[in-house]
Amino acid sequence: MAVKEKIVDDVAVLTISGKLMGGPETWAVHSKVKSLIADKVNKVVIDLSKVKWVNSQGLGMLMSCFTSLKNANGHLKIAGATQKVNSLFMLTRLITVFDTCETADRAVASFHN
Amino acid sequence: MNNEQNLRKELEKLQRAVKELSLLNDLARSIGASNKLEKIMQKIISYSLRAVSAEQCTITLVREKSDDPMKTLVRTMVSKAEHDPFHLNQVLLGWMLQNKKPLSVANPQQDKRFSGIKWDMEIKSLLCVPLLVKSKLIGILTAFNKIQAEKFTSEDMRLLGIIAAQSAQIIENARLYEEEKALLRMKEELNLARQIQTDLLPSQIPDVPGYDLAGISVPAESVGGDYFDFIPVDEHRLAVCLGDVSGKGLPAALLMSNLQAIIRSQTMMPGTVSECLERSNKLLYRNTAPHKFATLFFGILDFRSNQFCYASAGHDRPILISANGDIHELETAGLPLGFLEEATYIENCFEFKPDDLLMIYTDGISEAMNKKEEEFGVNRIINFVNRRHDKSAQEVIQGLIEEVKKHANGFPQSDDMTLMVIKKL
Repeated sequence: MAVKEKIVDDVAVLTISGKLMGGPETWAVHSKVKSLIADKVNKVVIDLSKVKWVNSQGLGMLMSCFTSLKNANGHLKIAGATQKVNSLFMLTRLITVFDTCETADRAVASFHN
Repeated sequence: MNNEQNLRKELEKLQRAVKELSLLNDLARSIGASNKLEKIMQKIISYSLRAVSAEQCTITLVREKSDDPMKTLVRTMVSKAEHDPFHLNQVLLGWMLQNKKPLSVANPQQDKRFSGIKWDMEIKSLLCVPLLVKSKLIGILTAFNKIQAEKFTSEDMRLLGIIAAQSAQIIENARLYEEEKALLRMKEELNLARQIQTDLLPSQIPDVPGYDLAGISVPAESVGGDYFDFIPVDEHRLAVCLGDVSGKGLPAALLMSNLQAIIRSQTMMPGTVSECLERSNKLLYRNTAPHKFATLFFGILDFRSNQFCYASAGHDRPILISANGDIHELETAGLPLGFLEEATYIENCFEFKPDDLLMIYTDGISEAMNKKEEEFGVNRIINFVNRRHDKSAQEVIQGLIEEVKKHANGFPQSDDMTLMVIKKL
């Protein structure tokens, strides 16, 4: 699993690739979000288009990112979730809570609209 | 006269050597007799004070497992409490990590090697020697302020060096001994926690007329975050639940016991399945940190009417296999418990027909991986259960656990595995 960070204006885009299956690597994404918040960046897009699978621990990490940003008056958008990952969002009804977009570019643009 | 002077010098040298040897001998005997790190360090300090006539002595140890020893100064023992030169010890430790050789400083405020360091004005001289075990720095022994002299002598440096060389391995042994004791204590506590957790799971599967029930939970670590429960509601109703708490190990186990208590208490309150989950969610939300949550499948079986009403908090869909081989994943969806305070849950019901088998599982089963990172998957669960309709519920769950282990083929599993079967006879 790897994370790439890109800042577009006032929005941070975290592109994750691989599997979000728990362990320190997975939680490093949440640490990254927390450090972005500390740097006053509270609009974050997590791009999951290169993520093959998310398990319950990966899901927990995304929920933590959502809560941390919400508590900092920020906002999380999740972009590019594959069908398999989307089915997990449906099962957990997180689809009704997470703000999802098809692509990271659209997610960034929607912050500016 | 010259001869007399020489003789006196020789005598003094010999006397000093005898004194040194007896001191080193005493020290070796004294510290060798103890395996308590604190006592050993105290003794080394008191012998060092005498050996080099210093006002104060400290021992500072570095932690073994760390990338940055400078940040992990763990123990400092000081001969006198009033001047604990904590900051200074860090500076000296940093120097020693690089140089690993004795250091004598007289008039430290003027010393160019330590310019920019704020010295305590009371420190007039110091002597610092490394504590080395197999060339690895495990700490430093430092003497401060030579009594009745401006600085420590080369003799002092040699002697303190010998004390350090003699002591380092003994300190290290005592530290390893303490670490081992702490590890053993932790293991005992973990065993106790595992026992407590095992006791929380149903020790006996309830005897329900017309049904064959079974449940099993296999934690990945000593203790786990999965659990299952059968809770009698009244004479003709039984609640069943299977939960998976986020995280692993002890924190997950603690949250799991909290969740179990919540679900048990809420099942006793009047209300529907979804109301029970909604109340439980609120309680869990208020009692836990935001990143803690649990997925849970919860249902109430009325064994008089064979009606089964259920709701899910983000848990994997249980599989219902009928006698004629029809396979049906229960339509469930719901937010995990403990995530949002106002979550609502949708309840569905169906009627159990003879030979219907409901398999409830955690993702530790479906996502169990082998070396090639192939998941066991839902299809394998279905195939396995479908071919064992004639077996008892207990045989089905035991067999499935074995099948999953066979699939993993020794590849270590990171998640707990929990199963429940409700079979209508």
